[in-house]
Amino acid sequence: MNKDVLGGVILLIAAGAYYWVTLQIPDSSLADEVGAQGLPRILAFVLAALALLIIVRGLVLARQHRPAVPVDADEEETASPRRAIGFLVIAAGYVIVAPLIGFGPALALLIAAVAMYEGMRPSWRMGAVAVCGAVAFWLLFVGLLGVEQPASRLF
Amino acid sequence: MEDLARALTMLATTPVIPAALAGLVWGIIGGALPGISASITMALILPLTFTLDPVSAVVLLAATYIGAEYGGSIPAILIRTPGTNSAAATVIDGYEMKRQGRAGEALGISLWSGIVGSLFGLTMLILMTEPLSRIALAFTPMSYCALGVLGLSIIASLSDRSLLKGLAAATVGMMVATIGTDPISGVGRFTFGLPELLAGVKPILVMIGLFAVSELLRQSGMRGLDATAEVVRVRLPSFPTMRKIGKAQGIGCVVGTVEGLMPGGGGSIASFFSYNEAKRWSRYPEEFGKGSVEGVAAPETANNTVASAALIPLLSFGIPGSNSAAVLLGGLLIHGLLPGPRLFEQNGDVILGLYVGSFVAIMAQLVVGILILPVCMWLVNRPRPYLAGFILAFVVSGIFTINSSLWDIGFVLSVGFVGYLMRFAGFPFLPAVLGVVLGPLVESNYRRSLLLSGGDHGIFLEDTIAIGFLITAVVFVVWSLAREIRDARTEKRKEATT
Repeated sequence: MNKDVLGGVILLIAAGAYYWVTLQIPDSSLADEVGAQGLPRILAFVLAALALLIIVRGLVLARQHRPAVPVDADEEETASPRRAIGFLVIAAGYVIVAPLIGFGPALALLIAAVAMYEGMRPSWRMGAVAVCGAVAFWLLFVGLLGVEQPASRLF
Repeated sequence: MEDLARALTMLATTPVIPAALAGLVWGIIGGALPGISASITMALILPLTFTLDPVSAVVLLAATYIGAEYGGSIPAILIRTPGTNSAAATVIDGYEMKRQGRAGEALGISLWSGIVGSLFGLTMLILMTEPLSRIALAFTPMSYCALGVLGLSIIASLSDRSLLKGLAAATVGMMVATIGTDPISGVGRFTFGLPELLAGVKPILVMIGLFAVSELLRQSGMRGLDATAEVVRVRLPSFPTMRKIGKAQGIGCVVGTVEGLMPGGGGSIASFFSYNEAKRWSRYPEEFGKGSVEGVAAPETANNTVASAALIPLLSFGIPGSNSAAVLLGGLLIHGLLPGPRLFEQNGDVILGLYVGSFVAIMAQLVVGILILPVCMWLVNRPRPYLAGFILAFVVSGIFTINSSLWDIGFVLSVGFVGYLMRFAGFPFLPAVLGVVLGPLVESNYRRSLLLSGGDHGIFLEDTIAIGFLITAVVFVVWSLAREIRDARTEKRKEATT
């Protein structure tokens, strides 16, 4: 299954799910001719039609043994999905940890975790960079801009 | 004269100068980091604009855009790696000049051409925007709806790879825009009982997710730069050199203005196009590719002209001409400012501030561009893992400033992953972003039109401007489809002969 077919199938499912949710939107006595469901249903049909065309295009390209996404000489590299998910998990970890230990420590951990994930070896220097980075961001956001950041629940 | 007096007063009494300088510095630094485009550089500071007044916010973003276009040329010249897409053409002769020991000269030409291009673009912005926006005074709800459809169609049809994918991305963007409370009946849509979704999805969260986070995901695990940039001193061009590059700069100015006006045009197309035209019209075409000063001047002038010219359709009609202009639109929306003629009537100080701030940023670039070079090179030479960590830290910190909500961070990360999948599958971002931004405009005016006509869709055919926009949208879509079919047939013929 090439990328176009897979993408088209995902979009078709999304269009179907979106349409199904529009059926749950309640009617209102304040509604106009179109209603709250009107444009969403039109969009669902448009997306479904485009998804089908993308699937057909993908199948035609596959039959002609051509790639769905053209590969150019200067095509940018892309990390594998597994790699990207790993990065995302680290970032999501910040969301979980920040309200527990506070902005500063969570940010230092985030910088260190990302650096290690991207290939840096753990070292005192890396720790120092992470801590200095967290301090710098605290000074910028909390100190200079006066913007609230997650506070610690534990201490 | 009155406007000049107001401008001078604004300079003296408002934080325009600090905002312009801060944006310029940030833009040059961001643009100099390979992998961080102008739009990402702007998206990263977008949350910070929440804490600023509207004038400072707009000036900060505009100055960032201006700075990033110059910043992108620094690694392009020194290490053959463009910092931004629009600096890709600068690599051709810029890096060659560096190899010949003329890196300082190349950077000086880039800086000077950037100033020339930016000033020309700003002049076009000032001269063209308000007259064009007055056309919008004649717009009815039908016209606005059709304008939104036209904007989405143009952007989708100018998508790199596929019209279908561009249209699909735009449709998904509009679907995201329907999340929240229905503006007419007050009924909740697609909220799934989550209070965080009742107010809808802020376009800024989508922009940061698609532009910044997806790029971090895409680059994860990649090797850093192979080359190390040495620090050099910028040498501004001599008068004979300025004369020699004059024609190339003129070509860059014209091409940059035309490309900037076209929604979806962007700096990279303008820079390559102007490079080709400068070579065609040059008295020394044989020098191109071998360290030609014109080969640096033309693309750099063009991409800096685009930075201002792309704001013309944005401020006149609310249709961004580029990814970066889309981010600037996000900045305007954050402060409740809607582009168009009303912006000039009700928020003239914001427009004046934008012009004044841009001028300050352009003139300051002459000094800042030289002074900040060592800082840029230090950052470019930092290990990529640290840069990735710091950028992600900037993203999560910035997002929290919007609503003090960790949920927003989770949402942005999810959008970032969707953006990563979109890249994987070849779906463009800009139509999706525009769908989120223009979706409410299209829906509200569509429904307003039908309220006026009692449900009769024929009202769209009674409005001349709306018909014109809709026909133009169809023309763009058909033209794009024909181009795709023609390209596919050409490719098939090439494969058959090899």
